[in-house]
Amino acid sequence: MILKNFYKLFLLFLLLFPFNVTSQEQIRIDFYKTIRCLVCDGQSIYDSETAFAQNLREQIKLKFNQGLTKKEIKNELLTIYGEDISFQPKKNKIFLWFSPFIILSLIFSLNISRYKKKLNKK
Amino acid sequence: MNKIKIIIIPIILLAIALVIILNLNNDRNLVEKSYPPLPQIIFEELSYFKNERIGNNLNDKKYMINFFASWCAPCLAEHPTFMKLKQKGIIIIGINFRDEESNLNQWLNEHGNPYEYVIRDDGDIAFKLGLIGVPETYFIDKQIIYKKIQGPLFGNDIEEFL
Repeated sequence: MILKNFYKLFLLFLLLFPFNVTSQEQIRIDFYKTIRCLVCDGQSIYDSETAFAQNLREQIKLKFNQGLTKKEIKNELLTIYGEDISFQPKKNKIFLWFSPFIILSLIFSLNISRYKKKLNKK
Repeated sequence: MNKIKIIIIPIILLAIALVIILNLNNDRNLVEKSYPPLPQIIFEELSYFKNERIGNNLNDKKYMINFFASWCAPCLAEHPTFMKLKQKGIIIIGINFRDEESNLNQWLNEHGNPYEYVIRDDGDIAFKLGLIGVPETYFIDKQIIYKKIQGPLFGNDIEEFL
C-alpha cells in the first residue's frame, strides 16, 4: 500500500518537474546574452538592469511571441541601433583582428630565411 | 635580402594604414547619422492631456520630440530650458517613457508642462526610434529627423535648431 502510494507520488513528481525549462524561456535568455546593453557597454541586456535593457528585453519578448525568428529580430536590432548592439563583430572586422598575427608571421618568416642564409655563409 | 626588405616593409605599412582608414569609417558617430523614420504610432496615438491625435497637424513644421520620465534626474535638469522654449513658441512633443501615470501628473504639476502633446510610451516608440536612455531629444523638420541629442539639452544645441 505504502509502496503503491510512493509510486504514485513519484509519477506526480515526474510530471510536475520542469524538465522542459530549456524551451522558449532558455532560447530567449541565450538571445539576450548576445545583445549588448548600449548604456553599459561591457554587459549584455540579460545582465544589465538599466531602463534600456529592460525595455529591449520586453520588446524582444514581444517579438518572439509574435513568432519572429532570432535572425529577423537581430536584423531589426542591427538596423535600428547599428553594429554596436551585437557582441559578434561583422566579418569585415576579422581582417583587423588577425592582421597583427599576419604581420608577425611575415616578419618571422623573413627573419628565418635571413638566418638560414647567414648559416649557409658560415 | 635588402631588396626584399625595401619592397615588403612599405607594403606592410600600407596594409596597416589601409586597415586603420577602413575602420575609421565605422565610427559610432558616423553610424548614428542615419536616423530611422518616425514611427507612425506617435501620430496615431491619443495624446495624454488633450485626448486628441496629432495626425497631420505637424507635417510641414519644425518641432522637437523629447523623451522624458519622472524618475529621471537629468530630465529635471533640462526641464527649465523646455519651459523657455515653450514661451518662444516652439512645439515640443513629450514622450513619457515607462512611467506611472500618477507620477507623471505630479511631475508636470510641480514643474510645469512645456509640451504641446504628451504621449505615454511603454517602450514601443522608444524601441522603434532607437532610444538609449532618457532624456533624449530629436529635432525634426518636415517629418525627418535631422539631429538627435542624448542627455540633457544645452543652449548651443537649441540655437542651431532655431
